[in-house]
Amino acid sequence: MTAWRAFLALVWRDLRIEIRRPQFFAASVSFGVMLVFVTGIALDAAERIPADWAAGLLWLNLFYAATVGVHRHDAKDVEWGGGEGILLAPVDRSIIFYARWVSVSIFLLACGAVIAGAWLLFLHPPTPVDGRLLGFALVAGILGLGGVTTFVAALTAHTRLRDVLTPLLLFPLTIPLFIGVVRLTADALAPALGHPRVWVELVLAYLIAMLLVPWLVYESVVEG
Amino acid sequence: MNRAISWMAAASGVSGLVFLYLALIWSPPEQQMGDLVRIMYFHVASAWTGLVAFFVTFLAALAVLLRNRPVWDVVSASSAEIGVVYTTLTLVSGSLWARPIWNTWWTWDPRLTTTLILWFLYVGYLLLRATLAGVERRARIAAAYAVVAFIDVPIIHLSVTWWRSIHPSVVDDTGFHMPMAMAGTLLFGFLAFFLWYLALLGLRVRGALQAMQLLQLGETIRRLHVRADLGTDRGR
Repeated sequence: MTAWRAFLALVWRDLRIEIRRPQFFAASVSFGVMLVFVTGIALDAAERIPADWAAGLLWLNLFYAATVGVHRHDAKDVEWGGGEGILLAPVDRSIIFYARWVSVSIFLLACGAVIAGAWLLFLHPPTPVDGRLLGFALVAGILGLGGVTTFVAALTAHTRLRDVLTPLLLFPLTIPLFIGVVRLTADALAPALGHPRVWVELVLAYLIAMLLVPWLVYESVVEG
Repeated sequence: MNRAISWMAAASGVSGLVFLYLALIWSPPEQQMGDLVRIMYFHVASAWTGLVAFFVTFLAALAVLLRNRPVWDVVSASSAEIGVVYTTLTLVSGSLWARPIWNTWWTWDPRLTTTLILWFLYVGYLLLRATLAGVERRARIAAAYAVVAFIDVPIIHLSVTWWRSIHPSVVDDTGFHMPMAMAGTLLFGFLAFFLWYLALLGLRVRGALQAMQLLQLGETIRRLHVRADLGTDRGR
């Protein structure tokens, strides 16, 4: 089996399992939408919120929703022993990491679309001015979040405090990404002076670093 | 090893006392900050030593992944523990300094923020270790995390350039922006803190290795007991 076919088979496997019983999607979306709704109440049902706040709240909800979803996703593998079965595949471990990264990112994109809809509906953020920038922020942010979430979920798979440790490890690791995508989203909602090139560079640098390094050490994590 | 640690502890004790004299008495007050500059000696020295400790954690974690020897895991964990203590000192002393200078205990200055992120990263590392069962599994998983976490350290440095900072930069590419008396005190402070770090690391590693040896001895004694019991049963 070539690496490419193994990769596709693993992604397709994750997608099929999720389509049959959409636990990741259901958990993340219900939690994310509820969080947006509660945020609206906490802000005293504000008619308008500043672009900076709106951007921060969108990404805060997305990050929390991701941690909830990834737990449900991995619980299925632990429950049915599929996670150990995957390790028997005669391919490099990095293929498993990237396949899981892609499938988690696809789920997160789907969840992100629904949560962003709830965000527009409940929090009344400013109308986006730069659609391309907003699109870049959403896709890059979710790709980065998907990659690091996949890595952290593998790290905490055998710990006793998994529910607590996943967000505790994920949030510090992703804060540079979080800051970058929040600034880009805020800029897409209300452009500031100058092009937000520095934030694009930060997000891209973070993506490259965080997607290369886990690839190098992923074998140790899954075989640990 | 014991003698080296003793010498290191003695050297760190003496240098610590000298540093206290230099920082609190000998060094002149700064023009604008006055005596508050003395906090800076402790703040900067602990920040630098904390970074060194996390760098050692990173190197030892790499060694765990490449060589898989238990001693590197012990060094990695011990250095991270000490690094967290130094980073805590950095944050506390920074906060004490910021209150009179910036009129706030905490400000969202990029370097402060990233230092706190660093603290969270390594507290997470220690918690991860504490909740993983199995010596080898713990070593490999914690090492993988330590390697990734260390990527945050250059971001601390780069963040000063990327974001607009209100943090005073006492050292940059052009050198020290302070009189020689202050720069000398600061460098000596780093030396003293670094010696303390080495002594603590030596003690912590020795303690952890002794604990491992005790476990192995206990296991050997348990096996001998089982063999002795089997021999007694056969004799009957």
